[in-house]
Amino acid sequence: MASHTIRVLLCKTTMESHDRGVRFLATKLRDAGMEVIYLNFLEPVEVVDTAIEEDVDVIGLSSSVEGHVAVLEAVTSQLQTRGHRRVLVLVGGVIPEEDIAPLQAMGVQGVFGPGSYVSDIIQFIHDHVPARV
Amino acid sequence: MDGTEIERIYAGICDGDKGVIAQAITLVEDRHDQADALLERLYPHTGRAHVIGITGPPGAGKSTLVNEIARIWVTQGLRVGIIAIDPSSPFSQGAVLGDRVRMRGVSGQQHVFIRSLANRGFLGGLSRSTADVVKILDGAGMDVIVIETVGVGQSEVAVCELAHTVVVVAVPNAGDAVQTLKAGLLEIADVFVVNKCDVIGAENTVRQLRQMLAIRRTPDMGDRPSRWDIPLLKTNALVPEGVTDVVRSVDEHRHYLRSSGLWETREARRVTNEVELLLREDVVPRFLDRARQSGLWDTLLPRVISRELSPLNMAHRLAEIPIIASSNADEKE
Ligand SMILES: Nc1nc2c(ncn2[C@@H]2O[C@H](COP(=O)(O)OP(=O)(O)O)[C@@H](O)[C@H]2O)c(=O)[nH]1
Ligand SMILES: [Mg+2]
Repeated sequence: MASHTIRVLLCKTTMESHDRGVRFLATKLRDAGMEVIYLNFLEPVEVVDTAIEEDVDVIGLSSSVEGHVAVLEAVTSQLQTRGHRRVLVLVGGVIPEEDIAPLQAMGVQGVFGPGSYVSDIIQFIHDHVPARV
Repeated sequence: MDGTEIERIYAGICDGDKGVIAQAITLVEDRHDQADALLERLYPHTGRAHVIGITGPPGAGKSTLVNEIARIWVTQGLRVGIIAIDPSSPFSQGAVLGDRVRMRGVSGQQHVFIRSLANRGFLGGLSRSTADVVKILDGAGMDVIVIETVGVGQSEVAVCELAHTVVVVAVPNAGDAVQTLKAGLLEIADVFVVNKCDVIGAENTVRQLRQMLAIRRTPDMGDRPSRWDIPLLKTNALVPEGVTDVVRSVDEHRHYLRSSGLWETREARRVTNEVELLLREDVVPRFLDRARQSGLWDTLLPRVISRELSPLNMAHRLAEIPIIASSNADEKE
């Protein structure tokens, strides 16, 4: 029987922050039945390369310093130019209020600040992950 | 998804288009109903690649080693496919796949394609679709395809049923070495690597393993003596050190298989295993469905309950039902 398992690429886009949060989220998504390709740190081009090869449904990026707007800009525009459709892009971390609108404008569908619940992220993925045919 | 879409995917695979290869792998992983048609189309164009299994206990440095091996292959101008398999959680069926953490050195290179797979409950350290993923990478023109899988126990060594060459990775620790032996990993090794030779105790382990290898039974011999002496190699994948020897041994093993005729033997073994699996997991369940839905089932059942027929007798009568549905067969019923 055909059935699709949701695959998620999870990584940080900044080197200096520790990755406890990302690791924790990885195990939670696993417990929710998803397959998580986990990497501690990736450059934007690596994010896109990996997302394409792994054919993920979701890219979850964690960012905890300045610069996430530029990183997300690079990721979303490369996804577009390289024709990788139907991938849900999420970002988590310390995201200032004024960045949210620009992020959403470039196609980042979910922005999850510090106090976010894992259950909300899981629900968001289930609600927004593009259907496969 | 229809025939033209399958044709598009087929063409994309042959072109080596990474996005399409990735999509095709998802199709076979999900057992999409068009996956069979795609594999049917692709199969005649497979059979070129040298398939290499890399197995050993978790943390032995397999992924790190694969990255370094692949780096050398790339400089040799080879196209490299890597399939990294980790277990799914038995509770949620989900998985955390972390092998790529160690493969950043070759990830993203033009002639390298890496895919992480969860075994999705399949036994033997492989996923159910691994053989089909190999076909996709083979059809895409990969010269070498590495399957990295965790090998810890007797049942975790199915990789040798898919690979031409099996590299077993152990670490220097007397206990682990014995453990490796117990797990039956020594029996399946074509190339034996002791990684982490920078740590204390490495020499001891190597000596111990050399003795074990000397008395190892040699399968694959048939009626002629095997001329393959299993190399025991020391590496430090972090530096890296000794990895060129691994690459050389793997290539020598391919030459050995080719020149001795054992390549064909292994191909026959691979195909036999695959067909047996398909019969068990694909044909038999489908036949069972057909049998259950046939009128014959309902006719025979009361006669077995009344002891007129035995269950075995009923099974034999049901076995007359054609396995593959066809219009003829339906008329006959
Ligand atoms: N000291 C040492 N550490 C190594 C060596 N090779 C790998 N490692 C480390 O061992 C750990 C596990 O490596 P990994 O490749 O993920 O192992 P795998 O689980 O077998 O794939 C990582 O922290 C590596 O950096 C080596 O040759 N020497
Ligand atoms: Mg690994």
